[in-house]
Amino acid sequence: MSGADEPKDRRRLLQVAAELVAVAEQIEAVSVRATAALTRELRPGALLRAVPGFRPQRRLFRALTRRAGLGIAFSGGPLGRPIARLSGLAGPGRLAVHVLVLSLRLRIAAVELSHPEVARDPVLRRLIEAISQDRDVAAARALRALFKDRGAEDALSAIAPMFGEILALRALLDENPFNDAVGWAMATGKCVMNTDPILGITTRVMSSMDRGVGAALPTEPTPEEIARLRTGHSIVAILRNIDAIGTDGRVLLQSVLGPDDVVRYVVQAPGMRPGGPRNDSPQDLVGAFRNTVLHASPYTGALKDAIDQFGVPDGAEIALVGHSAGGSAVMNLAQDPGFCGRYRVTHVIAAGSPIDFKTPADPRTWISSITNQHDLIPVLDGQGSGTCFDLHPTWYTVDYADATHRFPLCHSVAQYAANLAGDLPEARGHIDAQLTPYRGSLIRSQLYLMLDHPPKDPP
Amino acid sequence: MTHDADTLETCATTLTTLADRLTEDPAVPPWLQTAIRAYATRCRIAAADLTAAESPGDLNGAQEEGR
Repeated sequence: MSGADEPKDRRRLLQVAAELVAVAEQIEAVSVRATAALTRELRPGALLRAVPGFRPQRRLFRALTRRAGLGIAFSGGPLGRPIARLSGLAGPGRLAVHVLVLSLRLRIAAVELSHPEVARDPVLRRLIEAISQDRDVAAARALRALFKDRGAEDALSAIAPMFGEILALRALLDENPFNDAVGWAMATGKCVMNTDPILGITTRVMSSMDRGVGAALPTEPTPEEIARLRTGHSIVAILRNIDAIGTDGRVLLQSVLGPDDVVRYVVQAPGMRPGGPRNDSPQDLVGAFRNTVLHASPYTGALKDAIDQFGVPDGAEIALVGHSAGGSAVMNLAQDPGFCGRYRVTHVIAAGSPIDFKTPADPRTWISSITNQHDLIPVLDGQGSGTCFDLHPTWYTVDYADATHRFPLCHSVAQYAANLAGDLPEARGHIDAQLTPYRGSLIRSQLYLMLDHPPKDPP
Repeated sequence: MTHDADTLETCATTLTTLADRLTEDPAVPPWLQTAIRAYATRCRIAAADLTAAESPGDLNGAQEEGR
């Protein structure tokens, strides 16, 4: 196979994977209806009518348990749910799940086409085969070997391009019934990963720890930061600004006089603040979870407060740019109808952010998602580079792999800026062309400290 | 159940068509076609099961026992 064929082959395999998902969903829908029919036939009236042979019940039971057919396929309703929990989603030979697993294996094969290093890695191969074949002990051994041989950073970097598929396979095939639904949702591309796919604990528990309405406090940059901050009219300049202000809980707002003499506004939002899972900033770990799985958060509240304090007039045009959790937070703003009714959100650009299941309130908003295939963070919503779903046909998606293959290095905003500056001239040019209305002279720059709660003694 | 049996027959046809389409495609992993055809067969068997669940059959259910 020539290198030129690789993207075409990959697309073809992913198309087949998507067709398999559609078949799996139809089989599952039949299983649900057959289970409902059996449930009806088990009511006293139906049982009395069916004696002495109980033929309808026996035939439906046979259809829902035959290994050569649907497999153990009880699903949904008062009968299907407990049995599915007891037998595990994969059941013994459950057909719908097996077709879905086939789709996931094919997606991994498609990822391998653009990441030949995966096929060359014997430990990684062992891991993928063990998971695909539902061999738990072998999978655990291979995972342990991967982390032992390579260390955590290299191991995570190695599995990153197919991380979503591996998690979904595990969730569908392991013995834990509490992660089955999230495994199915991840594999069918239906909704955000709102449950931990390994243990099955809902991420809403962690999200609920992220409390507060969010507030912003104006703050001054250091002299070093003043020297580094630039007008945010190109994607590389904006990402470098985000890198300059760091992850200490601040965001940057700028107003720019555009080429048409219209004043426009650029919001530049960094990712998670390092440290404990919960601190006084909305940019903490629990905030990052909340921004991924929910539509509003203290971070979005604090951003709104900052935009308000900056004096952005109603109806003004705003570009929202964020890195990591900052990208999720600005996307949450863009899907807030109240915010979009007040301002005209022209652009949202998210780098290294899990935003696949977010939708802007204003269909005119131009959206770009930039993701490194070795970056695990964008996969936190369950969809990564191996996805076979075109969830956003109108978005400008930049999904690339650089030579470093290192996580978490590849997640840093500095690395995203460097990749766009050096490795992705076409993407950089396209995004900058979109930002043309924001190309002009800087009027004002202001940093704001993001807080979970308004300060008790405002300055 | 007749509608569901038809759905499963359609799934079987889709899978078979998919397997035929992938014949001699060098990018396709070797295990894929075999698996797809096996699942198409299972869809057909499941469709027959659901058809049997819908049909009156003989009073003793001997038809199903004999299979």
